[in-house]
Amino acid sequence: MKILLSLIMVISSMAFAKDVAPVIEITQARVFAPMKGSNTTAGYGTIKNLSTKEVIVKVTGASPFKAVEAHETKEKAGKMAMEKVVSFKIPAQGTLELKPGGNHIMLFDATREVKAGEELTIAFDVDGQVVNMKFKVESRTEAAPTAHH
Amino acid sequence: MQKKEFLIVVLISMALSALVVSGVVWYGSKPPSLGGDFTLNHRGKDWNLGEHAKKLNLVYVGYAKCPDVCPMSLSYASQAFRKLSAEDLEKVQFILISVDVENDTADSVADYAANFFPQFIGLTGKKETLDQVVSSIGASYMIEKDPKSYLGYSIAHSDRIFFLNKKGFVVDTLPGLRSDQALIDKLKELL
Repeated sequence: MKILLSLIMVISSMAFAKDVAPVIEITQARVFAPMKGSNTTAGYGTIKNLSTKEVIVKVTGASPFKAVEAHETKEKAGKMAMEKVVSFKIPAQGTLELKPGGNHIMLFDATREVKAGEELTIAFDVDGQVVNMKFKVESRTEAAPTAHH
Repeated sequence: MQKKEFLIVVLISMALSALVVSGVVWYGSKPPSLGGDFTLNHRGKDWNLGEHAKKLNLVYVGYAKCPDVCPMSLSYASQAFRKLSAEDLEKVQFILISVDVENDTADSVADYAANFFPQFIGLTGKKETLDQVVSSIGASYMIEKDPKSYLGYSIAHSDRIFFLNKKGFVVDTLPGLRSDQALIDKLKELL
């Protein structure tokens, strides 16, 4: 009976997943290629909440990096300070800008060389729903840091 | 009597004016007070500003594992440097001073700085020396533990380029570099 119920749940979730409209979309999604001398890099882009309610977005994974986190940079006592945040909130139909000097995705310790021109997938949790989004890898020195804005 | 009083008022006014003018001239000719010569570590060897100084020495205080503000500022600086003439490049250099003593090695800082522009110099040093250099130019930083983060810490630091003359004294600063043009304009003004 338990097996039958589990099977029904899996089948119904698959059917549900097929019909679910995307909750968020991202534009100008980019990650800077890690540089020699540092084990960190950052990802940016503009995330739009397509739904009619506020969503909570967590970043959960980014292969081939060992860890990925949501961070915010803000001015504190005349210095630029950065700290990890659990999630980002995006209001209904609103946007969240991930940009240098503000909210961003931080990636740590790539397990292989990540080169400009590649495409990476970063996984997000949007109110419990897994959303994978593609990010283009760019070179720090070839593109202007805010050329997309 | 009235003429005499008038004459005294005129003389006092002239004396006060001369005092103000000489004060302004003295202040204008006063050498800069922030900064000075320093020696830090470049790829394991002593690097003395006095020995390597150019007409303008741009100093940025940060760390190589900074994923956001430092690379943004260094990217804009590198773009500005790529637009300078060969003649101007002879007169100016960019120095990244890492204050992450525990995690950045002399080689990693030097490599990191050179990613942005081959002639960018990455320096580090002992904490006491770094603290002395950083505070002498008017910069600051604060290491903050962040156990919830993978890195375990972050460093809040000045986001400002300090322009040092040949003797290492601060002659100008540029906060929060957000375009290469801002730096190019400042260099044109100072070179």
